[in-house]
Amino acid sequence: MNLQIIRSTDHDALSCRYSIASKQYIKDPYISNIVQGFQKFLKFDNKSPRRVLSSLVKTKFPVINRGTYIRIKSIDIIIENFLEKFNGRDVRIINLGAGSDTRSFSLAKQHNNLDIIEVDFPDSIKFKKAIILDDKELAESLDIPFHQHSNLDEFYKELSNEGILASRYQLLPFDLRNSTDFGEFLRKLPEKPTLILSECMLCYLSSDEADKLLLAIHRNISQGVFVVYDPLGGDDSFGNVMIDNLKMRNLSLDTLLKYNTLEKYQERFRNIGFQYVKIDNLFNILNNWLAPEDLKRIARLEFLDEIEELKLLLEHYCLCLSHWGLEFETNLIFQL
Amino acid sequence: MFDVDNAIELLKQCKQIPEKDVYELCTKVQELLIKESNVEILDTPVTICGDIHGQLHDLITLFATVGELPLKKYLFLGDFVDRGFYSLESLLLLLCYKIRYPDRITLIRGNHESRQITTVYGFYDECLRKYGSANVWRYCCEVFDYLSLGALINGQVFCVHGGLSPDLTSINQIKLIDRKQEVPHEGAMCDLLWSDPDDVPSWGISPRGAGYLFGSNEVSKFLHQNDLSLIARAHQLVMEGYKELFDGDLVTVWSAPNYCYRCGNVAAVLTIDDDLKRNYTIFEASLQDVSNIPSKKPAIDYFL
Repeated sequence: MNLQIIRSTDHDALSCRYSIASKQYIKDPYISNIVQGFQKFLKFDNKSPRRVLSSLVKTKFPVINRGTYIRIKSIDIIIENFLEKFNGRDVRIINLGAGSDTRSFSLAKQHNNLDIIEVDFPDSIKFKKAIILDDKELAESLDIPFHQHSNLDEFYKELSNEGILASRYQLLPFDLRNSTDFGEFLRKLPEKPTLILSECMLCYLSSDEADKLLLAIHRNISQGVFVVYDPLGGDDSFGNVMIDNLKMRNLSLDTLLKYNTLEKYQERFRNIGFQYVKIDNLFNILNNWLAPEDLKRIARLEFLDEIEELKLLLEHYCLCLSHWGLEFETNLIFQL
Repeated sequence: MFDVDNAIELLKQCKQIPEKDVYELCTKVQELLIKESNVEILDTPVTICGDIHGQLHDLITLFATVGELPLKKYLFLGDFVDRGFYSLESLLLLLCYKIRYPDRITLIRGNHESRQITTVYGFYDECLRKYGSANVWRYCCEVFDYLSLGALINGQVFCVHGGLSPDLTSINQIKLIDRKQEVPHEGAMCDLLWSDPDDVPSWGISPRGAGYLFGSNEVSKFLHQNDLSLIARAHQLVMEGYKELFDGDLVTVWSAPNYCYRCGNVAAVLTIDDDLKRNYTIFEASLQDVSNIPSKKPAIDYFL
């Protein structure tokens, strides 16, 4: 699959995040900085920057906002659990295919015991690096020195491809479709509790590429918590329709129907060697994980007419939680 | 002069009709609708159709599958607009049929036939995109305010978009509502368009934030008090196209196949014959619709 097409899914994710931040579902103090960065630098990175920029700030339907909220919130809940569990100890988060995700900025600012590593395609890394280095608030949240840039063309052109290597934050170029180098990188990391996040990333790999990546993660990290969010084909026609629809933008999801149920998705991880694997769909998570007052709060934010559609959509996304080499018990409810 | 047959042909081909024709069409439809009762009285045989949501090609498939007007008689339970890519054409086609064959087609109001909802769910944007101004949207919203709230077939089958209201025990009470207004946020008119049947003892709070959940007891009471045999409603996506509840006292009919080009469901319509027998016709999404998604339109939303 074309790299630019996979990268374009980051624009979808960012626009969804932007939409729920502007609707007050979440507070994201850094998202406007990222969007401003897109406005400055997208012309160096993308052939149709104007189209992308206007799609970024387009309002989403309530059903998409609600689904985006539970996607972000469920992952945040696990991250909070992880940080609380190892309160004060040195820990690490590795975000696979991080794209323009804004979590790192808030997390780095709030937790000085936390190392963050973000991994993505080299072009994505260069683009995010430009945005971070050119924005005082973003740079300082990550303890990166900030310098004003007068000529953006030159600044972007001269930017190296090696990412960012700061004391507590690393932004690293890896193409995870071939995980050999990435596995080697993981093996050399100092040992500490590590949460690995794969947020709608595995689904873009072929079955074989994904297996190798999963194996590399399991082998090379000794104390791991693994959080995976992915679409789930289901045993109805939803998955086939999704495949057809995404084909229109040349996006293929090779494993969507292969691991189409919670059981099969769980089994996939067990077959790699992960022993402790919990999984549920996002509809159950929406109903089980949120505090009643939070459910009430989001219900007040906007009218949701698409009740059945929300259920159908969210039943076709899963959150899978695994851990090894450390104790990580939570009170979170999972179906399996 | 506005030529309705010509407009029907254009709309079926998904072509735009001039703004002044839309105005004329809407004015004429209003003149018809103003004479209709809050609960329209209909005779069998009639085919009841659920939500359409701007899926024009599927609406055309519906007519082709069940039978064209004026050979067949139709009742549409609202939600003609929003979500799909051709809300305007779908609505205007139905309105053209209404002035062409006024006694063969009845349109009642759904919760999406409202100014507030159409600004969120796409119809307003579509009008603006296609005509460069909100005029056409305004003409259509004027029509919405005149749509009936329900229908009664052979005095036996009560048809409504959403469902029952705790403020209503009889059909006669519905007739007293002043319907010529934007859909209110609460009260009987709102509930008729927003409520859902559910497994609750009597009334429950609706997760939609409008209308109520109503249980089988309330349905039994309403049927008994009004001497009815069935409530037919739409409003909720059902993957199988239709779903009977409460021992067949209520049915949900859904007529937008592969809803939002994403859900993968089939659609259904319900024909009530002269013996009040129920015949369901199932149909699938028109292949044309997906390939006809306008190229300027962003792709279908997923969480990516």
